[in-house]
Amino acid sequence: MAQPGAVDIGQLSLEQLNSLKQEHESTIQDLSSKHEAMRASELRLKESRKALEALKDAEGQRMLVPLTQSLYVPGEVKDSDQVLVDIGTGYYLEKSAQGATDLIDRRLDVVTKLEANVQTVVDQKQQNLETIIMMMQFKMQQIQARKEALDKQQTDTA
Amino acid sequence: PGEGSRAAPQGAMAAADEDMAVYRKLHGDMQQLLQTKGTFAEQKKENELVKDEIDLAGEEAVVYKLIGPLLLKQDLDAVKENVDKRLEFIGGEMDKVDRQVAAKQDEQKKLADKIREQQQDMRAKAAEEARKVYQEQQGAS
Repeated sequence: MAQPGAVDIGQLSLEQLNSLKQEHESTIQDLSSKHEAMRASELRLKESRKALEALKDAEGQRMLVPLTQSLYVPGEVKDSDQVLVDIGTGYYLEKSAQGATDLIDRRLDVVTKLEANVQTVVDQKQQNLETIIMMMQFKMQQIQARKEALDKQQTDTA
Repeated sequence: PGEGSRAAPQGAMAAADEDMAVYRKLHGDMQQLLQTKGTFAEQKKENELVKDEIDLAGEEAVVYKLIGPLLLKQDLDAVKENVDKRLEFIGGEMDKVDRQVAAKQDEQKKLADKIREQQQDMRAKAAEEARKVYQEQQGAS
């Protein structure tokens, strides 16, 4: 369907404007939840980066290893320079601590760029939505004014 | 002749309503197809990121796959092949969706033209009817 830029929304009927409004609202909702998901993944990446920092000189350090959510086993950090990093679609890559940090930085770059793009689109759709709503209000006012004029005409001639 | 010409607009109205319903359904179908395409685009992006990281890691890369609660070591070439195959599949599916969208757009346009023509027709007929009534009134007065 054409976007408001290509079609003069002043030409659209109230019904058409309403369905355009609903489309925009549903798109904004979808994009907002995508944005949320990206924020969450950004935070996770930053946390992983912090964890790597903490792991830096941890060789030999005693720690508690989680077996389940409520069961831990005491252990020792064996090799703090080898980690497994989630690269997506169920695959994990063995990396050195530095390699993992670089990977995380690369991912963060991708995610923040995508986030910014989505935010731009959401802002634009939000603007369009406001314009559509204003046009709808204007049309409703017109209809109301016409109705009042007609009623007045009828009572005048009665 | 009066009765006959009044019955025709009713039939035309019903047909026009049907066309509008089909038009709206086409629109709904297209929205769905675009959503499907969006999902594929996400999968494509995810797999491309995996491919990039593996290529960056070089020939010495060690890859594990998460299967249930187990991390199983994978053969690097097998992983690369798998990712390439997935990307190929997704690309094919996206092209299919694109073709379906193009077909629906075509259908929609044809229907829009038809509806516009019908509306013009109805308006012309209504104007003709109004003119006839006016003339009758003029003749009777």
